Formats: sequence, structure tokens, C-alpha cells
Amino acid sequence: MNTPQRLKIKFFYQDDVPAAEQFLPLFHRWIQEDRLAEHLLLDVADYKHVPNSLATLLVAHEADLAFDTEGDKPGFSYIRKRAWPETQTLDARLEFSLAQALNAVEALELEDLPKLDLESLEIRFLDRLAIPDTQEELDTVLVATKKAVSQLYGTHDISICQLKEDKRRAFGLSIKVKRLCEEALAA
Amino acid sequence: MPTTWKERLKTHMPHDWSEEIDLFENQMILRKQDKLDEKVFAETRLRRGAYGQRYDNGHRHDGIKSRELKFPTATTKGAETEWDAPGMQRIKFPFGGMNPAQLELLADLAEEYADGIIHVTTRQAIQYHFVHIEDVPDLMRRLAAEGITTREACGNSVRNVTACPLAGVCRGEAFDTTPYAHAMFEYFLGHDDVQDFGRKFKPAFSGCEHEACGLVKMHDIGYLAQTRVIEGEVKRGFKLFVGGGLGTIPQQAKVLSDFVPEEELLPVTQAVCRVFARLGEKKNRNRARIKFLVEQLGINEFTRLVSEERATIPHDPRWLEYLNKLDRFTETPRIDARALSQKPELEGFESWFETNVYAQKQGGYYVVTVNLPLGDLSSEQAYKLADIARAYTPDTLRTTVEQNIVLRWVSEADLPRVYFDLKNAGLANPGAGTIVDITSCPGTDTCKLGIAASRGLAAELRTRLAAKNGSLDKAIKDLRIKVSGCFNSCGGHHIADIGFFGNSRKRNNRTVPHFQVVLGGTRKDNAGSYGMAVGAIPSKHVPDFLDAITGRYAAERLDGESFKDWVNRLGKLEIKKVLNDYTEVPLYETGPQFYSDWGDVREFSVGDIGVGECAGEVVSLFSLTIAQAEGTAFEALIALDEKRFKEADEKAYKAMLQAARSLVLSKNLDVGEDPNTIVSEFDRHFIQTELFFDKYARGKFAQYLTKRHEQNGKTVSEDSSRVLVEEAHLFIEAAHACDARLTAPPQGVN
Ligand code: SF4
Repeated sequence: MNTPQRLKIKFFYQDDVPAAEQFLPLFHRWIQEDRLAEHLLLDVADYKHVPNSLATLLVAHEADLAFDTEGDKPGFSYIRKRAWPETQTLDARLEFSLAQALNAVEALELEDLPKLDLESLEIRFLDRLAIPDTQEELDTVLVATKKAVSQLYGTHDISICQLKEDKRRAFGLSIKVKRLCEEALAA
Repeated sequence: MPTTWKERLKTHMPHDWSEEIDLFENQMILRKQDKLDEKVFAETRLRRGAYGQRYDNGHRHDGIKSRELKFPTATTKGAETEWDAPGMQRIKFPFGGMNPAQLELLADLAEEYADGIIHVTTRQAIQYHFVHIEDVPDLMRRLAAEGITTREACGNSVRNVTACPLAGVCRGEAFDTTPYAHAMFEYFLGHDDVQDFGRKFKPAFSGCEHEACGLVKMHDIGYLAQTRVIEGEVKRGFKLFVGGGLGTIPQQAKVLSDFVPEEELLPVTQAVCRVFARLGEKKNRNRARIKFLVEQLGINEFTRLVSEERATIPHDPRWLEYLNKLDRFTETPRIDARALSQKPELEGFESWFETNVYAQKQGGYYVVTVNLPLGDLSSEQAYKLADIARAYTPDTLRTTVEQNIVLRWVSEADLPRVYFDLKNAGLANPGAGTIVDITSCPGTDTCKLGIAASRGLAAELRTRLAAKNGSLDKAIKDLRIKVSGCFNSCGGHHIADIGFFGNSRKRNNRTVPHFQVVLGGTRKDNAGSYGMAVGAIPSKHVPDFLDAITGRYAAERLDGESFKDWVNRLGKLEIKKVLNDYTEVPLYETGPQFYSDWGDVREFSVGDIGVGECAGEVVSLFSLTIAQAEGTAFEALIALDEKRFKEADEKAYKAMLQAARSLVLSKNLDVGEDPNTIVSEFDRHFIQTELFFDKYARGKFAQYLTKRHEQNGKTVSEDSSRVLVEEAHLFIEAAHACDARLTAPPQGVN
């Protein structure tokens, strides 16, 4: 199985959901303020007229960040596209992307917007050459994901299951973190 | 298991397609090693549909200052085009045809290589944005494995072949043009005779004379299906048009032949291509489209050259082969036609049915239009649409030039279910083919040439109009709006009832986004006539202006009077009065929103250049004198309207002289009023120095004045005066742009 070239990590809003247009000025300001370390922020794209989409998008060279309405589940997504760390392993990529995604979430938490529920997230491999084909490969992916999440969240109380909603969709995992360690997140 | 797309898909596509993509990948490597010239690579990439995108020169104005985008890779993929900068990828879909598997693939690729959006263009192609050049070869391979090519989707060659989305099912067509459009695409793809054009070449097919779907009269080459009885036999053929085009100066295509029999379709087109390649302009891009060659030679001489050329082309069996396989494109419905027994109780069904459903000539079947806001759909929506196409149609989807997608062969009884499923996918927007169905080019969102936010404006108008759709007068509902981000007209503003194209004006030492209003164009009759620019208004006033002009039309129109006829009856002076209520720009302190564009919160800037305080005096002098030029240009428009063509010509010329003078004054206050002195001073200070040159159009606009100045005393025709009036407006726009460049502070300072 290949190592995925593109990884999407999505966190969800619960009852209180911001509007897509709130992200437009916010993302423009982030560019002005160079708000995201280790990212070359490029542009903002507005797709709020498209249901089930990356409705408001902050495009960076390394990753895209979006107010994401896909699956009718509003959330915030971090999509790592390139500029990976030297180590090409799945473990390294998962851990790196998740760390970067949490950094972005941390920046978002400082804004005057409803808060994300960080205890539930989705990871998708946006690379159809990197789909686990056998049980063994799937187990490898589950172990690597669990390791990355435990590392970043500071807990082992994690449940992971494969998303099976539509075979055409990119391979994905749904993750629930039961006991969130605030200290680990802040770190 | 193969670990690369190259290995996995090598045998899934025609060998030559695979080789071409490998070659392109190798050229990328050479370019990165600096062993291939950047200009050569740029043309190679364009001919593969890989286009540049806004800010790819490594600079972007963030609303406060121009920022340098420090991309990691230190090479370029074209002049002033950074290697790492995101680009646009265009994909060809001849006649807009696609199947559900192809749509699913588009969804996969949007997610993996772009921003999750599939964008339908105004020429039935598909575009992705924010694509990295290094992802392009795999993206192409995956498309090729599904029979899709990006070859010659951009660049100076034969572009996507368009055709009516109703071809084969239309009640008014002469015959189904689909197989002919496909043959045209196949024959000319990579053909030697289409590799040496000075500019792009866009073909279009239409099944009938009077509807709008094919828009053949605005194309480089257009084919209108006709039948004739010859020796007792019904023969198929085409009325052939050449030399049409929108762009800065729109031209109606001229008739090259009233009837080209189907056997002659490909060879005659090949002859046209050869004449264009041999005699068309190559150096001056601004006069390199075939319309200029046709204009220069005259249609009679052009036709003579084509027929001479035709006689010399060696026979190619492919000219006729496809005629034996025309039924290859015959569609067989998946489901038997069944009538709808009773009206469904579904909320919104009725209004959707009224606008989005068309009864095919095949009884009991319907075409359903999926009305896409701004031509966009997401990957998730695309999967759902593919499911719907599989469930209810014989796998037949087509994109449209209105940036929508149609489903064909839907049985009447299935319409409520189709509506329900589309609604679940967020794809059941009503209003297809009405005023809410606005088309727009990419504008400043992604286009490098964009001046104002065409998509932002289109989205705003659509939202407002959709909110009051139910209460709109029928006459207003039937109007069409098209928006372009600049004068280049990719949004097709010339053929809308109400068109807009982006420009800018300086007020109070700041740049304000504006839209030029173009009224009275006609889509019907295959883009039968073009609208006229009547004046520019600030972007933020456009929605109110739209309410005012459509409100007056609804109230004052005579029975059955079209918008175009009403505009003509009202006259430009009255129109100008309506416009005048919306030209004011408040001071920044009281109306800061006027200084940002729709959908973009940044303070507006042109070409990443903010506007400083240092040039106040020059600006005020310029503002004063350019206003005279604008007034004269408007008088020219009135004269044209009233068929005083000589006067229109003289006024347009005078307007350009005044605009030139307004710039010359900043260099030589003693220039005076003598035309010879103005032109020679303008030449010295602005042409020779290239100060007046537009970054992309170069000296095109300056030539409008110099050409007219040299031709003083020449006979004036309706056509020539119309062109000159258009040119005068563009010249004035260019003078504004030049002034904005000259008075801008150094980069990085607001
Ligand atoms: S009309 Fe202008 S802004 Fe719009 S796509 Fe064409 S060149 Fe770009």
C-alpha cells in the first residue's frame, strides 16, 4: 500500500454552527497576519453557494483549510497536500498532519466563533493509490492512526472505525477520542 | 499492485495518449533542470490545458499591501509564472457529453488534485482550480483512461467543439449534430494543420437557426444543421459561418457557405484551418483570431481562398468513415416512457418543472436541467448526480454553455423522483434559463486578467433574484444576465439582455471596482446580435441598477416587446439617466464597502497595486479631462443609435483624442488641441515608452487611436463606426488603467 499523498482531517461543529461567510474575512485576515506558522498562505476561495463542499477555503501551498459542509456535517478541515516531513512513512505523515491540523484549530479557537467538538474527527486518504486493500493493510492503518491520535491527544481511550458510506468516496476513518487530555492538546 | 498511476493505467488508454503524457512529464523534468526554455514549456503546458492562475507571478495584494509569495521551488513554468503556484486545468468534453463514470472520475480528481469543485465553463468544458503542476500528468492519465483528453483545451489550436445540449432530442432541430461534433473533435485533435495558428480556434454546432443553444455566430467557425432535397433525396449538410467572436470587439460571423454537404464538412473545415494557419496574424496576438483575417480579406476573398485550398488537400478516408457510424451516438432510453398520472405534492416541484424541464421530440421523455450556481458542483454532489443519471437515463449527461448540466431521456413519470433525488443532492435549483441563471467567467477569483469580481457579482445578483423569484414579473424572469471580469468577454456579456464587464475607476485617490453595463444583446438566433456598452457604475450599485432597469422594462414594455427593442425604443439618453442615479461613489469614510468587490473583503486594487496619496494633482487633472472623453464617447453612442454613422465615427475618434490628451497633459501641458500634435505626443510619451501598454493586451488599445488617425477621411460604414465606438470605450478604459498604473505607489505600500 502506498503512503497517501493527500490527507484530510475534519473536526465537527455540534449544535452551534458558524456561517460560511464568517470565514471569508477571517481567512483574509489570517493571510494579512501570516497567522499560520509553517504555511505559505495564498488565497481564499468562496464556494458557499455549493452545498456539501469545502464552502470557504483558505488555500496554502502546503495545505488547504476549510469550513467544510461535506456530508451535511459542518466542520473544519485541514487537508495536507505536500511539503511532507522527510520521513515518508504512514505513521510520520499521520502524526505530522494531525499536529498541523490541531495547530490550525488552535488558531481558530482564538476567533469569536462557535467551538469545534475535538473529541470526534474524521481522517480521509485523498489518494486512491493509497487504499488499504487487505485486512493486514487495514490493520496497519488503524494502528498507525491510533498511535498518531494517542500521541497528539495524550490518551489511549480512542475508538476508530472505517467509514463505509459510499465505496466511491476516498478511504476514511471515523475517530472518537473519549478522554481528552487538555494538557496534551495545549502542548 | 502497481504503485503509480503511470504503471497502473498504461494499458488503459490509447498508446499515443499515453506517450504524449509521458513526454509532457519529461518536459516538466527538463524545465525543472532549466534545460527547456520557459516559453517553450509554457506553450507545451497550455496545449495540455494546464493554464496559469491569478497570483502565479508570486505576488498578491492582501488588501493592505502587495505580498511576495515565496514559493519553495526556484523555477518557473512560463514567463513570470512560479512553478509551485496553483494553476487551472481545463478538460475537453466535445459537445459537453459525459457519462456517469466520467463524472465520478471528475469527482475523484477534484478531491485529490484540486479544491473539491468541478466547474462547468461557458464552452461546455470542465475546469479545476488550484492544481499543482506536478499533479498534472497523473490527473491527465486518469482522465485518459476514461477516454477524456485535455489536449488543446487551451493554446493556439482547435478548442473544445461545442454543440446544443439538446442535440438529438430537440423538437426544432434539422438533425442530431452530435456525431458530427464528435467527428470534428476526433479529426482535428493534434492534427498537423491546426498546430500553427496565431490564436485559438473555437468551433460550434447548432441544430437550428433560431434558438440560442449553439451560439454559432459568435464562434470562429460555426455549423448550422440544414437539410436539402437534392435530386429527390434529402441531403444533410451545414450552413457554415466563419470569423465570429466576442472578445474586446465582438464580430458576427460571416456566411462562408449556405450549404456544405456532410461529406465536405471535415475537408472544408481543414481548408479553413490551412488558410488561417498560413495567412492569419502571428505576431500581434490582438489581431490574430480568424475574425481579423476574414475582416481583412473580406468574406468573398476568404471563401475563394478556402475553396482553392480545398482542391489541393489530399483525400483522407476519415472524412467519410464516421458517416457510416452516425448511429454510434444514438441513445436508447433506459426506461420506457410513462406518463405522469397526477401532479406530485412535492414542495417546489411546480416551479422547478416550469423552468428546468423540456419535453423531448421523443414523446414521454424530458430533458432535465441541473442548474448549477456559477457552474460549480462539489465532488459529493457529482457522485449523487452520477447515481441519478444511472437510475433514470441511458447514462447521458451533457454540460451546457450556460454552465449547467442536463439529464436526457427522463420518463415523464420519473420526474418527481428525479426532482426529489436532485433536491437531496442540493441540485434542484429552479430558474434554469431565467434571470437567476446567470453565467459568469472566473474573473478576479482565479483569472490573471480579471479586473473585477464577476463571480462575486453574479453570486450576489443570483441570491437577490432567487429570493424574489416568485414575485418577479414574467418579462423580467425571461431576461438573461451574463458577467465578465474584464473586457475580454469570456462570460459572454455581449449576448445577454443585460451584460456586465469589470473595470475600475479612481475616486478620491482610491480604486473602486466598477462594471460596464452592456444592454440589449441577443442569444436567440445563435447569438444574433450584440449589446452596446452604455456606461460604468460602481460594483456595489449594480444590484440596485438592475432593479431599476428591469422594473422600468416591466412597467413600460409594450405587449410582446423584447428587452432589446425596449432599450432601443427608450434610447441611450434615457438609459443614461437611469444609469446616472447609480454612478456616485461615496467618500471612503462614509461608504467603505464601495471600495471592496463583491465576495471579496479586501480593499480593492488593480494588478496588486494599491493607490497612494502622492499623485493627487495629476489624478485630478486627469479626472477632469477624461470626463470630457467619456462624454464624447457617449455622444458617439447616441449618434450610432440614431444611424448617424459618420458622426459616430468622428465622435469616437474625438473621444480617443481627448483621452490621449488627458494622459499627455501629465507630460506636456502645452499640448494644445491639434490632433496631429496630440497623437505625436501620445506616441512619444506613451507608445514608444510602452507606458500605455496593457500588461497582456500590450499596445492593442493604442492602435485603435493611431489606426483611426491614419485613416482620417476614409469612408465610414455602419460596421466600421460600430467598431470604432466600441474601440473608443476600450481606449478610455485603457487610459484609466494607465493613469492608475502611473499614479500607484511603489509595490508594498498602500
Ligand atoms: S473575461 Fe477577463 S476576467 Fe473573465 S475569464 Fe476572460 S480574461 Fe478572465
